[in-house]
Amino acid sequence: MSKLIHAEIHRVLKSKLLYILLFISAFIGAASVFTVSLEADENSAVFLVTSGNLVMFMTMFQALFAGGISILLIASEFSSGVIRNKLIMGHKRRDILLSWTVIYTIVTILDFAVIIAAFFITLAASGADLSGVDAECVIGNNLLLLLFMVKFQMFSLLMVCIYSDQKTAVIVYLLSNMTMLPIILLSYSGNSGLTQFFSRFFLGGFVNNFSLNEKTDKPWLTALCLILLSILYLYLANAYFKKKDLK
Amino acid sequence: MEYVLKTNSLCKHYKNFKALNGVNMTVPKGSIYGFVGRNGAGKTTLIRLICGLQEPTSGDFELYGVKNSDENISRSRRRMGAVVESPSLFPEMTAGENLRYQYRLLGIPDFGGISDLLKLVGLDKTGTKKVKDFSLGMRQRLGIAVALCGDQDLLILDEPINGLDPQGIIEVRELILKLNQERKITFIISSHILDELSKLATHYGFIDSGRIVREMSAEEVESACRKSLKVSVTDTAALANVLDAMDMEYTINDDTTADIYARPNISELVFALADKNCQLISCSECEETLEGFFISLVGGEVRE
Repeated sequence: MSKLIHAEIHRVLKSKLLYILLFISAFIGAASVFTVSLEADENSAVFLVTSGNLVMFMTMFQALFAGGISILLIASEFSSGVIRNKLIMGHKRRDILLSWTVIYTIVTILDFAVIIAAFFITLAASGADLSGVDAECVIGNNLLLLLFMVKFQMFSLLMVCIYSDQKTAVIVYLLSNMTMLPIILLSYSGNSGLTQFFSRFFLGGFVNNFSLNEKTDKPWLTALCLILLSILYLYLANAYFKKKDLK
Repeated sequence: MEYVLKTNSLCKHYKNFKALNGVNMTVPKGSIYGFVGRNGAGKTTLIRLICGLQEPTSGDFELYGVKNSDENISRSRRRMGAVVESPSLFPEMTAGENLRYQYRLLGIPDFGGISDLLKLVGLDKTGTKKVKDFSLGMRQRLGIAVALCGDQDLLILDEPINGLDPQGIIEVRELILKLNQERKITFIISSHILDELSKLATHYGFIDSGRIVREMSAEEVESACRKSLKVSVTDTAALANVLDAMDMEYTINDDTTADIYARPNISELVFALADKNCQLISCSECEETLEGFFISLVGGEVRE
């Protein structure tokens, strides 16, 4: 599998799509500071990480976007036929899938690191006072956000394994995520145990008021839910890919 | 004879459609195996199964003596390269970058062989030109170069000259012959362009409706297709005596007809036959092409 990862990393690093993704992430991270700073009055830093935090809200869209980019990159292997070379030379389908999982999880971590770094660097550069920020809480919530992004990546992987055509995979991926929006809103506003449980699978529900500075209720349960959902997507992707007839 | 590939009652069904229906074929080591069949006969499906792109519905095959159900089939596949339908290349990369990607997939750390490979396929001067700007022939040759990364000793080429111009066809043909003769690479080439295939193949497998109709060596096909004089006489035993005396090669088809693989002097033949109380009823020259031979094997009806 190391050979697959090695080859794929070189390809991804040469791809323009990766740099477009990172540029947009950096822009979103940095722009979040200025957007909210205009509205905040005195302690904008605390305001930014506590309530109505744009960086968190944008992360949701960025996760969606990053998943779409992954689909384009992986599906290009199907459209160009390069996936055939991998199989012909004896690589197992499971290894190919796992190599994608590793690489696109790394891409997600890198992407997320760029958003958060751009956000905090811009915040610090703007001279904001960060003393009111609860570091432990921010790190914990960021890790949950990262898991949320990884979950999107696994979903995009599943889409590629079902629909290897780039356009179809992206369209179905976007539509599926859009159909989840009412569920997100419902889980965010609902108070029953069931809706609270469902909220753990969605960004809006698991971090209080989109706040990075407030402790999340049972973060371990949220993390577990996100990890389990990611594993389920991966399991399904493996099942589809294993039986897929390639042309 | 040593075989690189043997298939045993290989079947592939797609819902109600039987793409392969019990294929049995053997590919000798070092041969150029021409895999002949009409569009939709099952050539590409069989290649996909061998390459591991699809799983057979039933039956099995052995690649270098390893069964497809064996865990070690991946190891056998490492000795094989293939260009299935169209070359598998990243269009945004250059020829060199595509080959480097393939080298990394194979775990070959030294890229030294890439320039030799590019030279071998005549693409050493493409520089920074991207594959998307290559001609079809260049892409085909690069596809072969990609399939050759790792010193493979079996290459499977699916319709390698489809869409190529005459110059491209010559280039690909010369490359295949060079690789077969110099590197002793075994080739399986599927094609329905029989004239071209007849310039390369040492063995043939004729496939129709998902079944191998017949496997033959090039000599056997040549013998079946060679120029002959078809004669009809009243007594083939007398004809055989006369032809033996004339030292001519022939085959007796039945009691009244025979094929003579030479150009006898007809007057001499008629007189010699008359001496033996035999009449020459008719004679006609015939030369069967590979195409004609294939049609005679599978039948010439047009199918939808």
